[in-house]
Amino acid sequence: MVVSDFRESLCSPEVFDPLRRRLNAALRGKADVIELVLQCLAGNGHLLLEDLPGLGKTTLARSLATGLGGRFSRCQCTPDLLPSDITGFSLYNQKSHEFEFREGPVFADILLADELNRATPRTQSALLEAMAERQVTVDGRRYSLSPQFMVIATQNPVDQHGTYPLPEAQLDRFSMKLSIGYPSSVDESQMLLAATAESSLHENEGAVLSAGQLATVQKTVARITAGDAVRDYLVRLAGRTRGHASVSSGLSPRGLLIWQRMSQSRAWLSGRDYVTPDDVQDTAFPVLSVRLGLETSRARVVVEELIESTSLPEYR
Amino acid sequence: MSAEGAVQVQLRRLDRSRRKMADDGLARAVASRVGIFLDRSESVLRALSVLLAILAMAAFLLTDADGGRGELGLWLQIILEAILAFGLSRVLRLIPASVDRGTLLVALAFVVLMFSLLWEPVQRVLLGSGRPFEMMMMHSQKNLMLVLAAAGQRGGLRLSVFIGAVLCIFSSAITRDPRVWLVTAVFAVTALSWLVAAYWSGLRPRMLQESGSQIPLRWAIAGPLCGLLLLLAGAGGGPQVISSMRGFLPGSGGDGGYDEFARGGVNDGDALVAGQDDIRSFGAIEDAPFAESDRSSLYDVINEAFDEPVRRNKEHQQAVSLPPELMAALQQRLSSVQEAGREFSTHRRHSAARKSRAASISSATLLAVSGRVPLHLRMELYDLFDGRAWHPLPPPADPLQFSACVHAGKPWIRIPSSWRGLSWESWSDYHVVTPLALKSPVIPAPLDTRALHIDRVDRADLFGWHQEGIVRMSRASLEAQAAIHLRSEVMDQVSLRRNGDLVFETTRNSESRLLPVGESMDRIAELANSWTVGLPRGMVQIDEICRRLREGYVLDREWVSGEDVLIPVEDFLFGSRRGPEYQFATAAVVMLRSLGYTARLVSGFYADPENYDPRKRRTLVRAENSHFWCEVFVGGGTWATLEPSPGYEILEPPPTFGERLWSWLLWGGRWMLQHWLFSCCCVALVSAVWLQRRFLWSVLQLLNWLVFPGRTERERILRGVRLIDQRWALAGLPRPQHLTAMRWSGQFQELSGPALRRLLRLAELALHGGMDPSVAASRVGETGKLIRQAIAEVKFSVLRRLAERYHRERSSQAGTQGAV
Repeated sequence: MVVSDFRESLCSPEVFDPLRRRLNAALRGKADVIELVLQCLAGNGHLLLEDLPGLGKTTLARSLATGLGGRFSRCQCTPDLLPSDITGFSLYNQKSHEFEFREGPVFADILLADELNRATPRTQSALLEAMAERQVTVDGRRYSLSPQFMVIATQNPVDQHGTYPLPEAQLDRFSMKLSIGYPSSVDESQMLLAATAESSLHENEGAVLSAGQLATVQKTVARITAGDAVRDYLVRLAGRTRGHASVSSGLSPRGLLIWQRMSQSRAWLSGRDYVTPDDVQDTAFPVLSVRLGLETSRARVVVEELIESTSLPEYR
Repeated sequence: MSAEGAVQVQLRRLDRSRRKMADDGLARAVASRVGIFLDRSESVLRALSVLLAILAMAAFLLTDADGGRGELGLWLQIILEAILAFGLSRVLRLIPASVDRGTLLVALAFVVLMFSLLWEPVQRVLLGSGRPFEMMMMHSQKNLMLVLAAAGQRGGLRLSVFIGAVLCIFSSAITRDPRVWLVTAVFAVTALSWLVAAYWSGLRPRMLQESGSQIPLRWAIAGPLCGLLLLLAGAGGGPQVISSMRGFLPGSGGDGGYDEFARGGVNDGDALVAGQDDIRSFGAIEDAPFAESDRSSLYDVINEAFDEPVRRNKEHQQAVSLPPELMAALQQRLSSVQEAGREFSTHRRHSAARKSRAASISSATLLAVSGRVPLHLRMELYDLFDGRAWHPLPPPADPLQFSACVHAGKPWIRIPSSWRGLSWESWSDYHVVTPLALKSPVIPAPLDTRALHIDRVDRADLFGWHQEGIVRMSRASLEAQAAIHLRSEVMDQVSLRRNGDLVFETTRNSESRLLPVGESMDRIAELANSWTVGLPRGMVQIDEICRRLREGYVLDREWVSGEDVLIPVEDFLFGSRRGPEYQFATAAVVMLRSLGYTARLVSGFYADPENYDPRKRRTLVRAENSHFWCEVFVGGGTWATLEPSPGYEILEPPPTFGERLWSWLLWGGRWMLQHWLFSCCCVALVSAVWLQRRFLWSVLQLLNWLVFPGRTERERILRGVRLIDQRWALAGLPRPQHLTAMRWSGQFQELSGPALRRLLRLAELALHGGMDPSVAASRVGETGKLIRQAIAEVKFSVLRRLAERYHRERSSQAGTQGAV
């Protein structure tokens, strides 16, 4: 029959199930956020978590990092953090009379940059090259990062004192911006109960997805078909962002590429080997909210407007 | 095998399938390289199709005009229609892709076709003009062609060019206009280019999908087989079958049917020549064979209709005396040759022969009149009255000359007139008189006939004056069945009566004022005076005389005065108070003359609306329709018809557009009242159709889909989804433009049937590249059943209820939000 059996021919989205379970255990009642995080992971993108303190941003990032088999590093961003603290630096070895390069936290598979907006712009921009090109240049030498390198940055939107808002160039390198939000009362109760059980501390140890598996997934996602109609739809949506009255700078071509990748990733997670307009719409808000330069509530309205005013591909 | 190994295997599999896809992509790239040219050929094809349609339209309109229309108007129409075709093609491109173009085109073509056909009866009824049947059909085809060419759909373009070719062949075949041949030649050359463009653009889909377009085997066999069977049935069925097939291939007329809008050829409207009935009728031409027949002359007809005259006697001569000028005129008239036997006596008696001959002559149809009736056809004018008999006018002494001219390609004879157009209104009228059993050289024509046309007669010297204003042909008799077309000026009687400047005296027609003298005449004059006392001179007095006669006297064609009556008109007025029309007319003329008006008696025929033959659309005139009436001089060299006999009417002005519309509406209303049951059924049906229009439209779309389900599997699936999408919209649940069908249907539990979900899933695959290209291009598919199942899952009525509920909830939500 015409429906190609996806699970036989492609890397199955079920490989993400243990990781999904792990994340759901760590962050209760936020399955939708976790799906988006997985989407970002499968699409080889970088994630910006923006929410109030104590809502589980770091927990989520740490759970994700530990769930993955690769190297995990973390840096707590403060105003006195230097770029070399992130990228690494060369140290003169008096024994060998040579400079040796000490790798910074970016030389990991997952980098958790906590409270990124507390770092100085200089430090923030040190991440630019790493995020965009997955490489760093120190003292004129280029060092490649892991192909699965992923930055999970968090920031606190309320406490603005002593912060440096992320520049747009950096924001554009993030694939998605997510807010976690408060859990429901049932989930909170469950959380409290889980906190009293001792074993829960150990459950979250150990990797559930190897680096090789993640690489395979990311390659598979990159090959998901985005047909002519969907590409046209994406381009029309991008065009609309550029002409929208509330948006100062519309979607960049890089942003459009990221949007397509996130849509591919969502299609893969849904068990399809082709992107539908639904995938595009579902990823529109997290992808656009990070790069339209609008407040979260306003961004939601604008994205809805954009989607409602853009006609879907015809059934022909 | 580890999980990672399994993933690697899967990835290799994926790579293989991708490589195959890449090969497909290469083929597509090659094809798209060619496609640059092919894309251009597609737009060239559309432009050529529109051009061909315009050429065919021009050829047809040139043929349709046939020299009978102004060149400016014709070319304006051609340019206007070309602009409309271009404009329509532009407008149709603006239509959003969400509208199903196939259904829209079918609906548009249907509307244009029906409007072209339905406009004709409206035009005929309301505007009084029309086209012959074949032109009407061809016009509708022309309009259809233009719409199809403008729409630019592939199948439509082919049909459009085909219709264009038919139109060009049709136009070239029936016209003698060299311009049409030139346009057809240009059409032929352009059509060659069109064929080339069609071939190239036809290559594109074949290069993109390998499966070729082939005529299905069953049709390839069934088509010729059906044709063969038809031929065999025709050949073996004998003459009955062949004659029944005549209906499909109409012959060249001769069935006696009438079409006033027909033109040219055998069925030439009123010039119809029924050769099979009468070979002599082939045209009023000089070499037509003469043949004596049992046709009746006017004299025969009048004698048959109004009995025989009584010979004059001495008592009569004593009863009235003629004044000197009347005596002199009468003497002069009687001495001339033309007068012999032409006087009409008002003193008549029953003839024995009449009853026996009545059946043979009176039933014979003397004339057929096409055009508006009632109509007074003048044959003979009488001016001198000796108290008993009327004496006809002599031919004019200084006759005005006839002249020939050509109008709309037909020879017409202008009838000169001394009419000097006064301030009353008149309108031009058109009649066709066909002599049948009338033997007379005099052309029966209404008053103020200005021109006449007999087919192929273009010599003015064939015509002469019988009397003032009455035309005769210079031969023994008019040719039977040769139609005579007459154009006349008809005065508006209402406006005539409003006119205060009428001149009733004239020096020229002094004989029309003379009266005998005597006691009887004085009595009549007194009566006339008593009837008109206190009334202003003019049409008021004249109308009063006619009114009194019409209301106070009885028309009795069988009544004759006794042989001992001296002055029959006196007996009519004061004694019997009943009589035939000539007594009414005589009484009117005598009374008008006694009041000082100039009046005369007219004999001829009265085309009675009761004798209208609706099948042949003409009014038949028989011997019993011979009639007497009178005319009064109203100045300006012209006369007005008066009708003193009860039961006879004068032709009224043609109705205006509003009057036509009103009478048409009245007729419609009456018809509906008469057929109230049928009308009620129709109203109920129309209301039901209107109420269920959305459902019916969805049924039409369903039928359209059943007939044209799509050629490939991909097309079938997507058309199926479009069909369902349209059903939702028709039921009142239009899918928002930003929601996919899958997501929209997911909002309603009722729309989540397994077949529909499966179909929508397939549509996603087909649309967004998930479907195997070979499957997508396959021409044998199983989706038809699935689509039928998906449609059957939700009935239209359920959809309607769903829509109502949805809108109710939406409005209540909006209300709540508003309140908040």
